[in-house]
Amino acid sequence: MEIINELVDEGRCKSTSSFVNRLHEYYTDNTIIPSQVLTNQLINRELIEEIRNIPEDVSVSFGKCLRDIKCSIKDEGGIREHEIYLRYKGNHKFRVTDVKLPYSQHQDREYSSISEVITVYRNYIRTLTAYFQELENIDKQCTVVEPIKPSFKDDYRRILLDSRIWLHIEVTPEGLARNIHLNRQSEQFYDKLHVGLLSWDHDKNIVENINRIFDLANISVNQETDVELVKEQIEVPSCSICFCVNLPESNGLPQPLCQNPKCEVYYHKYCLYQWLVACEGGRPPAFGVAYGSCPTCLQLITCSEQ
Amino acid sequence: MKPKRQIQIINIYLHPVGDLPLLHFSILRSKLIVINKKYSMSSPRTGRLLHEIKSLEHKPPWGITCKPVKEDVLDELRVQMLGPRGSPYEKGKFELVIHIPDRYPFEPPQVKFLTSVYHPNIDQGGRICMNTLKMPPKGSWLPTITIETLLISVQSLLANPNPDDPLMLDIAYQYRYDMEQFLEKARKHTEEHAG
Repeated sequence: MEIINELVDEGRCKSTSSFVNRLHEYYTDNTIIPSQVLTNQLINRELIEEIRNIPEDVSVSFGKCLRDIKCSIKDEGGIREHEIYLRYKGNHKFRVTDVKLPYSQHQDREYSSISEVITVYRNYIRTLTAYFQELENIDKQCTVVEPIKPSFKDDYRRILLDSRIWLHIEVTPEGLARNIHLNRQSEQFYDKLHVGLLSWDHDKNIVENINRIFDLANISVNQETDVELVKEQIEVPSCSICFCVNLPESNGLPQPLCQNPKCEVYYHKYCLYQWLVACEGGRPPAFGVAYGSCPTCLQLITCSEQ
Repeated sequence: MKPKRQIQIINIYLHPVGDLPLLHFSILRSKLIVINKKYSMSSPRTGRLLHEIKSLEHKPPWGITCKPVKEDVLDELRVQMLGPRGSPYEKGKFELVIHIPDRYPFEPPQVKFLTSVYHPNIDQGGRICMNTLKMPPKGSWLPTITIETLLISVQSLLANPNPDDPLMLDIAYQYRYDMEQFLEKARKHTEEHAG
């Protein structure tokens, strides 16, 4: 900017030719590397003006180009910060590309201004208070194996009960638990869960209920110890197909997917699915469920895409 | 009066190397923001190959060394294999090349001899007839098979030819009906080409 000010404003350039001469001088003295990203994708003035007028408690930042906008909204009391990713589609047209919140119809519509997005999402976040609290409690007090990096976008948690058995639990926007089940068969835990679900105490929160059902006190994580540390100690076996534990493509850790109780081999759902599809000549299976045999023990196995 | 927002962006791009995708940072109001967090281990293929090559280097199986042709490209591996003891290939040093397909490990790697071998299941072009090198249902490749186990099975194929599934009909015939001459010829061929 200084360069341009110097070139234009100093009154030294009284005619076009002198301006061009100055410019030429400058270019020979300094090598200027032009930025392609910014010049190709300019946005209009109104948008910049609007961003200036956005309330102070919302922070706005830009992504790869000025059309990608991120707004961080604090909820009441300023405990949590929620990020909303927007794309500027054209004059008075904004689309929400990503939010770290459970899916809602707010994500599918078009907005005319950033402040409209902020108002809609402020109200939405207000209704989700119970949901945030329940998930935070689970993340704090239980050992969550899946999702790998739990966020408010994922409305489910998989909680470690013992090294092979995980409890799947989903949380509704109202902060209630639903679709509670185990990741594989286990008589011991199944009976406990069955009895526990019948006597679920709706006045208590989800973690308290789970604690009562499974007596998690001896396995669950103390609040003082770091969850990450415990996760490392438990050590999930790596996937027998890609030999890794964390895989960006796979939304989760390797699991003992084979129903053969003697087959102790773990796979990423992603890897097993890719293999079963490759066996069928690469055709995606009907209903998204691939059939085949376990690549280790050759027993029949099924695997869904997600 | 409200303080005006200043917009200052500095973009930094790190260009893709090998299998790593483009990495993109931005500096906004003196804060560093990573915009594209995806990097390294971008597929089961890369992660697994790095793992396999490391373990092949640390504890190679008997008589086998396996290294990528170029340090940072994992598409082609070069192998040196000693002939198994007690076989006519005993004194030979064989060279092989492994091509890793893009869909590995969901597709088997292609293994080929560069050294000429006199064997019922290996043709003049170095192609190997082995079940585990083919995709099911015809073959028996599994993603749980590693390059290491593949190379060990190639080595044991040298010691134990399979005349029921031959690639070289005349050698298979000879192996079945004139063992002595087969051993003699294989030994000589090894001395000549793989000495």
